[in-house]
Amino acid sequence: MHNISRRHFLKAGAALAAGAASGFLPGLAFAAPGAYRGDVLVNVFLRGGADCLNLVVPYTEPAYYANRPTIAIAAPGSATGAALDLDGFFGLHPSAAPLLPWFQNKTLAIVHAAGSTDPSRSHFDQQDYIEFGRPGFKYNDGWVGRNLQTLGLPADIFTGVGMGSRVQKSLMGTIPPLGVSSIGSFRMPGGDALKPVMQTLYAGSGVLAQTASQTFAALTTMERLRLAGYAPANGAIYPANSFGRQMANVAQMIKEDVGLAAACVDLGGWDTHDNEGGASGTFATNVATLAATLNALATDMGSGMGQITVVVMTEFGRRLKESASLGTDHGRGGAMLVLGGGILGGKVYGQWPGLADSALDHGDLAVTTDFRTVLGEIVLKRLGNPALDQVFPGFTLQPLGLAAG
Amino acid sequence: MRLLQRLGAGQDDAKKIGKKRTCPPKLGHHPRRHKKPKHPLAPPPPPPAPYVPPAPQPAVLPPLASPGDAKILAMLAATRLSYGLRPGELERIGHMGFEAWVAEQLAPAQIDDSAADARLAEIRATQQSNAQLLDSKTIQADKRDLAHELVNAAVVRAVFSKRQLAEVTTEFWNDHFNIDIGKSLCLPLKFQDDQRNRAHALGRFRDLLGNSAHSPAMLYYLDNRSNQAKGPNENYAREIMELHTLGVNGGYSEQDVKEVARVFTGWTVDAATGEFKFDAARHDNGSKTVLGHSIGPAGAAEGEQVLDILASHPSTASFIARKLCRRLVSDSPSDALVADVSAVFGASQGNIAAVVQAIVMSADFAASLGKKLRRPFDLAVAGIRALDATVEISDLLARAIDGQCSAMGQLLFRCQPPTGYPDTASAWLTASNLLARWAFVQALAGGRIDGVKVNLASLVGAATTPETIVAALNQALLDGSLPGTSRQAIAASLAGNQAPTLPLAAASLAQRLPATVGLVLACPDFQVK
Repeated sequence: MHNISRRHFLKAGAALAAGAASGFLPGLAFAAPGAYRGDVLVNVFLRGGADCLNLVVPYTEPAYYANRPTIAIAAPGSATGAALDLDGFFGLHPSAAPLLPWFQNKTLAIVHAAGSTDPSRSHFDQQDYIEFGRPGFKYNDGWVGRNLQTLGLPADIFTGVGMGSRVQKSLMGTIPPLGVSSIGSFRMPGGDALKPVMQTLYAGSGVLAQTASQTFAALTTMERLRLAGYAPANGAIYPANSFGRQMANVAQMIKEDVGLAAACVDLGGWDTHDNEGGASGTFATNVATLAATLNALATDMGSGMGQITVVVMTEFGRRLKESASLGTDHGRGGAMLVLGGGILGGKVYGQWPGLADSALDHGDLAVTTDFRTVLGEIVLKRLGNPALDQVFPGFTLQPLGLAAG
Repeated sequence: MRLLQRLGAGQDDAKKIGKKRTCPPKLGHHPRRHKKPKHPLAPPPPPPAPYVPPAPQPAVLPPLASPGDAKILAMLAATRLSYGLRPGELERIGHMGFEAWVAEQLAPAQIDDSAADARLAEIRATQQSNAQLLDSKTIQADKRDLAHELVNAAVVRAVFSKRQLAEVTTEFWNDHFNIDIGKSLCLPLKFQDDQRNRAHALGRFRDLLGNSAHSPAMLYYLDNRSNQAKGPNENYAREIMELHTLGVNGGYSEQDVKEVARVFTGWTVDAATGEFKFDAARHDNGSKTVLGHSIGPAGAAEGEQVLDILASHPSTASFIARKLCRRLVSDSPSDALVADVSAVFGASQGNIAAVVQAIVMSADFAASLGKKLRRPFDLAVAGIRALDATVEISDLLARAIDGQCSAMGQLLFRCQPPTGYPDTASAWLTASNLLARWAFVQALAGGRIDGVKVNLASLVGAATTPETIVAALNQALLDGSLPGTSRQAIAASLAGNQAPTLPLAAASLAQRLPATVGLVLACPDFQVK
């Protein structure tokens, strides 16, 4: 098993040479030269607005059961498919069972009633606001991209990696992120002998040439990883689906010391307007994938989790009241999960507003913790980046105290 | 479409909107003065009539002229307004002239498409009703895969239809009114939905919107079929405003979303026929206010009224105009162009043929060659057309095309979020996706795409030296637009150890030609249009 270490050295002028394209935030300062000693950030986005009330269940709230006669998760101990108790007030969806030990050993922290200060219930607006790092604003760069840039990390190929078929907006910035569907498929068709002629065909400027240039630069390393294959450590088993495979790829890149500082991985299918199911069904299946994958990563990394922070977020939670089609419509407050050796886990953070009518936001769980409060503390304490005013412009951090450092 | 007069309270029977009325009692024109007492043995009222989509009306457009260069316009016609060059196509367009070609293409019903239709007839799903397609037992017994039939139909139309601009525009509407065939019963219902988008692709936006609102596939996809008075479902109400008409900043509120949801309660699908049904028992019979307009109570007519309001809203004109400009001109169309096109939308009451005409006759369009990235499906069919490949319709073909597009980043007909596929280059270009594009064109040229047979020798003609062979390929596939450095690099690759001016032995040529064609198709010049 490889030791997890990252040896980034700021090459003189490399950060400046990376170029500040127009549209990015002006006047960014760079961190002093030296080795990057922060955590690898793994940012998981649950696309579609995950039903966090059924993921982290407020099982002592009568209003939860009154509003969800069909799809509510039973209180702990009382039935099959019951919630798994966390702290006497909240419980985990039963399909998230693989996460329970990590909560209990204090690696996993949860923040409930978290979200965006913007009231939009549009998926696309809210995802953008969160990824660009400022509700109500759409920038050309994202919070992860600005973090990498202000840390003064070199514009190396693997500094920022977006898994999947589209690079996440949060990664956009002056350090071009690498978009990878899978390590296994990352190879030059027709063989490496064609690489020189392809480089000639794709010489030039423009987005095609830039993407090609990244591709050529990544090929050698990716081939090494592909040919080496990957055997997870400590008996970890990643689910045999796209999300599981992508997370295993992230794990391999971390262990192989390719220079990864931040990776983004998406899991879709959370927009459960219709027939969401309760302890079993569409939502439950998705929860199982999420939990099994995070469990696999943490198991696989072992003590290496001390240098990794995983943060899981979604654009909004869903309505308290179930719909007539036994699903839920778009809501507001959701939950965030933070997983890492440097996280003060075993606790549900944030200020629970309750589910009384007067406490709801137009029928939805209110937002009492700004998502930037969670991300900002991670950026500051775990990633070692004090430039919060540049990563999250217009925001002042008052940390919850969920991270060490 | 005439707005029906508001009906009196309690009159919430389904109303058929359209040219024919078969449903007594007649309402709207003849307000009831006194109710007849119901005879105890009167027959039950007939079931509400099914939804009949409006008949497409061909546009009569005044001729417009383009300010552009004829050769460039012909290339734009063939690559942007069609699914790619085919042998002889540039000559045909050049001969008729761009304006005449556009006029021809804006009246698709008058273009004889019997060749493509004959091929489509091989795909059973294109000839079947919703009810037949919902009969999954029979479909399974016949060992049919409807997703494959859907992909094959799309390939056949893109490759063989002569109504190319109508097909390009139909694809736009399929994206705009996105449906994910992976959800619920959307797959069997998508065939009718696609056909109705096609029938009105260059017709009136209000008709497209109305068809979509009544579309059983859409009713499943955005859950409106479950939307009912005792438990409204807001999904469709939100997305019809955010994504289909006004746009997210178009001026609607959360309250409007709730009210529109109430308006569309009862718009559902008949389980037996798989067709639209208005279920009066599920309809919210209260009054609503939408975007400042008082609505109802008027049963199904409320929904028609809201569709009228949305279709004619000024935000809709600019939202649709911008999307069409982004599809047909460039990733960031100029505000000036969008404003002009939006004005045409408004003035023509959403006549899409007029809107498309305004776009393609603009100076921005004439200057836009090469500015749009081919999306994976575009690349696949452009490759097939450019190589004049023969296509054999089968499960193997569908699986091959589907798998290749998926590797390139596009799951055909399975875009999960209702925004539909993105339309900017940066959304499609990742390192992995680029490698997959190169892999696809190599497999295509190498005859390794199931169901697609290529004859590369016909592209090369009598040329025998690497230089002349590459020149011939450049002419056939890219109308001669490949830069010198690229031509030299490909010729050198083909020549191997020899000089590129020396003829190749026939055996060497046969062995190396597929990789060479693959290189030409892999060029950035073929990745864009």
